[in-house]
Formats: sequence, structure tokens, C-alpha cells
Amino acid sequence: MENFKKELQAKMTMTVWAAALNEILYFAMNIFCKEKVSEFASNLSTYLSIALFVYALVQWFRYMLMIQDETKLEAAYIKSKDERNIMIREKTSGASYMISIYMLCAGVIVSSFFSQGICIAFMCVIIAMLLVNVCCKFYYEKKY
Amino acid sequence: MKYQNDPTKPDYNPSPQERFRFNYHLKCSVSLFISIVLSNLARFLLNGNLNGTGKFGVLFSLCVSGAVLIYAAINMILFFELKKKPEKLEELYRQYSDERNVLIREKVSGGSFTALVFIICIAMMIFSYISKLVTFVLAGLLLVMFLVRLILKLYYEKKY
Repeated sequence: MENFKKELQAKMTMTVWAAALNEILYFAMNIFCKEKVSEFASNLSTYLSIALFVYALVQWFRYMLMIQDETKLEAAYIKSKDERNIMIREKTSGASYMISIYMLCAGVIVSSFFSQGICIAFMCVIIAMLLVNVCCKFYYEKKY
Repeated sequence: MKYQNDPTKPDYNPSPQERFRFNYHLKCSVSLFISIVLSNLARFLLNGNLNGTGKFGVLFSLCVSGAVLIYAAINMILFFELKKKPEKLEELYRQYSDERNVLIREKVSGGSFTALVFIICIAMMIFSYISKLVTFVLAGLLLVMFLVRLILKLYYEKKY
């Protein structure tokens, strides 16, 4: 149970860190870029940070409620460790990954006729996918 | 290992190994189809007046078509080789269906999906300063990935 509490805390901390990093990136771009940061980037960065902070706040609120009521904490713990849920989560992620790869491959080919920029962006995503896959494979082969 | 099943008979019941071998045939057929579609698309587009992006598309699809053709050839060779060497098929099938390997495969694709979502989010943040178009493409991709995940989650929750 203590580990579960730590996991919840880590999730909150990570969300706050993501929002903070987003803001740091925005200020860094403002300082180091010669041209002024576009309105689009500025708005996106602001809204993203707000969304992340709100998400962290909601998580914090839920966490506080859980700490006060042990039964809720226990229910959440059981839900997160339930074998069926874990299996569904893994199957869903695995199948989503495969479908995403196929969709991206189709997207690369279709976009190559319209825009080089989008095509290169898709290819970068595919390369990132493969790299992540290889890293995960090495990690899990050592682990199991 | 000897297969007594005859595919021409109505009561043909392929073994898991035969199904596994047939996967190579399926991969080969699908790859050939994709390769033919792509090369024909490129040929069709070459007949028209192409600008820079169009030429890039044609060249790109020809390269992809070639790569897919090689992949199809490899699968076809494997398909016939495994027919000749049943012990090799048995070995490959054992590797494929090994519990540890199955577990690793599932964990890898699950972990990769989660990591990928984070990578795309970070890329979106960075690209918002560089290109509006790429940011929208990445956002669209993320949205589609979430939709696919949602649909699959509903499906698996009904199934199990």
C-alpha cells in the first residue's frame, strides 16, 4: 500500500514537472531565439501548462480524498493491481502500438505526395518508435 | 515432423505450426500487393506534370515499393524453406510461442506505446516553436492513437 501511495505521489510530481518544463522551454525560446516566439506557440504553451497544472490539481484532490478514506484507497489499489485490468491494459497498449505503426506507414506514403514536411515528421516518429521498441526489448529481456 | 493433413481435403485442419508457416505466405502476399499498388501509383503519377513535392512522393513510393518487394521475397523464401525443413519450422514456432518471449513481446509493445505518447507530447511542445503544420500533424496523430486505444479498450473489456 505504501508503494501505491508513492506511485500516486510520483504521478502528481511528474505532471507538475511536465508543466514546469513546458514553461521553462517557453522562456528559453524567448531568451535564446532571435525572432519573437509566435502567438501560436505562446498560446499552446500557456494552455498546455494550464491543462497540466489542472490535471495535477485534480490528482492531488483525489489523492487527499483517498488518504482520508482508507476504503477508497484500498479500492483504487485493488483496481490498479487487478490481473484482469492489467491484462486488458497490456493488450490494449500492444494492439494500439501495432495499429499506430501501420497507420503511420500509410500516412508516410500518402503524405509524401502532398508535403515533405509532414512526411519527414512521420518518418521521425517511426524512427523514434523503432528506437523506443529496441530499448524496451533490451530492458525487458534483461528483466525477465 | 510429418504433416498428414492435406489442404485439398474438406476436413483439413492445419496444425499451429502450419498456421505459423502460412503467416509468412500471408505477409508475402500483402507485401506484394502493397508493392504493386505503390509502383503503379508512382507510374500513374509520373505521367502527369509533377511539382517538387510530387516528384519527392514518386521517388519515395518507388523506394518503399522496392523495400517492400525485398521483404516479400524474404518471406516467400522462408515460406518454402520451412516447408522443406520441418525441424527448422518447429524451432521457429517454439521460439515464437515460448511463454517468456510472448510476455516480453507484450510488455515491449505496451511499454513502447506509453513511451511513444510521451515522446510525441514532447515533440509537439518543441515543434510548436518551429512549425505549426507539424504540430497539428503530431496532435492529430496523438488524437488518433487515443481513439484507437479507447476503441480497443472497450473491445477487450467486452472480450475478457
